[in-house]
Amino acid sequence: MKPIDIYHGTSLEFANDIVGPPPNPKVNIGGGEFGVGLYFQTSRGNAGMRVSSRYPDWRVVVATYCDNVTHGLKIKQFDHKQSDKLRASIPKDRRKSHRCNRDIVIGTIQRQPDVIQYKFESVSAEERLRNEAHLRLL
Amino acid sequence: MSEIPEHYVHYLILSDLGAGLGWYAPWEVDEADSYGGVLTIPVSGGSPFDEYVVEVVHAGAAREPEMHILTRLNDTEFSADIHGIEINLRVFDAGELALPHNYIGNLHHDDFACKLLAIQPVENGLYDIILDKLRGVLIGCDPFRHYTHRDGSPLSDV
Repeated sequence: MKPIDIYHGTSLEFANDIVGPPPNPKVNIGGGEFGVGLYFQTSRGNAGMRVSSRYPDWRVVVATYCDNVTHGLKIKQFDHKQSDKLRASIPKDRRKSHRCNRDIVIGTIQRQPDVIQYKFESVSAEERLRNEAHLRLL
Repeated sequence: MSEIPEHYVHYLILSDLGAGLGWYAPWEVDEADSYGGVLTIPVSGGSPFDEYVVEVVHAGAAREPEMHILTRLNDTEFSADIHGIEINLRVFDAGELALPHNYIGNLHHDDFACKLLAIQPVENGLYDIILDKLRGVLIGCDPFRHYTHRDGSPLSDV
């Protein structure tokens, strides 16, 4: 796999906590369209627009998604149509609790088929983020 | 520029969080519901205004939004020049985002009296380019400076 950078926008406080040192990503706090997890996406601009409209002080965290991150993990990837189906199957009140029982879930963002999001769901995925993804601030 | 336009671009989320389909500000929804935002413009009778203010906020700096002007080229296309970066935006061709919707959240801005229509970059990766070159993002209308609660109180101190 060719390594790619993926992005997570959050408040300055959380961004500094995620990046560290020591790096401290947490998969059990946040949620999103595919349920509980820590979400990254392929568009740094998109991530920045979202987070800057939520927090006065904000940053974008970068992770490198590569073989060292994914090796041996259970990963499920959905196309846009499948992503829409998954979104529709998760009630909005379960967006911080639903689990897909995968380490990493990959799909598109609603109404943004060109932007791919990566949900890190499991403790194993959290460990890979911490140790292998070279977390840093953009 | 002789006059500041009356209307702003707004970064909003189209959702159906219990009150039908309409626009919400990302600030007022749960973090888990805050994905999929788009830039929008208020329209009158379905037609865009001639100019809009579009603001840029910068990462890792004091929050002092820069004000720029987005100009209507025709009923579907808009442009701006932000520090030499050509910004070309257009309305969506199909789907829910191709239609104007009401703002149905709980915040106040004068533009929310209008229906709002989503717009998107003509060029792929425009928002990434802006972040790379300006270390900033097109926020449209800075909610922390221009939005209030219904009682007129600000969202937060910045």
